[in-house]
Amino acid sequence: MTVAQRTVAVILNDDGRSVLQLAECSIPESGAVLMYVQDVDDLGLWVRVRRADAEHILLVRWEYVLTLDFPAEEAEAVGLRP
Amino acid sequence: MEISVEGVRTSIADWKAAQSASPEELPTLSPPQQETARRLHVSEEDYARSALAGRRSRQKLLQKTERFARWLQGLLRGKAAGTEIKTVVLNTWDGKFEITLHRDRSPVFFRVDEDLVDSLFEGGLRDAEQRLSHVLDLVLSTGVTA
Repeated sequence: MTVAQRTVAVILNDDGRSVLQLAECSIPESGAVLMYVQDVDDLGLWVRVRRADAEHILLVRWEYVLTLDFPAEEAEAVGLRP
Repeated sequence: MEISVEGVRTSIADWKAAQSASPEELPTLSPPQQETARRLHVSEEDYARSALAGRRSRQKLLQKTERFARWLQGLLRGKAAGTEIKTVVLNTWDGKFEITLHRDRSPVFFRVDEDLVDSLFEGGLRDAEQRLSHVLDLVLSTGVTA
């Protein structure tokens, strides 16, 4: 299963929250951080963040991630004539 | 024939478009969605932008699935008249199309890489067409059942 190209709610540990604040990312005081994951690898989640000049790609290392939450079962079916 | 998409996957383009959508364009969250956003401590606006991006991408993925299903149907007519496609599902978790045929009153199931189908439609590669045709030949001759 891949979480790339999905918007996920990321629960970070305290170090992760501090790192994101150091990286000048605005995060809520508590709870999850909603992030668009562009790619995933052994290092962690590569997410998009909006900066003043452009969108940037930020690495959220796995060691900072407590858990991820995103909808799993959404499916849409369409009937077609043969 | 029924087509569907499993899982919510969002392209970068749709995600970016949703980020810059005006508040009027955002979908109204259902009460369960509002409850989920609240429990995650995520703003309803951010959650709605995520839902909008997912909705846009899902439509495109459904269109791709339909296009592949119709292409497959044409290929099948030439190879095995009387065999019908029952379902084509794009499983976004595995990046596979899952196809169920109905042949001689029995279901036949097989899977195809989404990348291969992308090669077919985006590049029009003869190699991709040959490989898909080969997959179908194998399925029809061996009868992998669901």
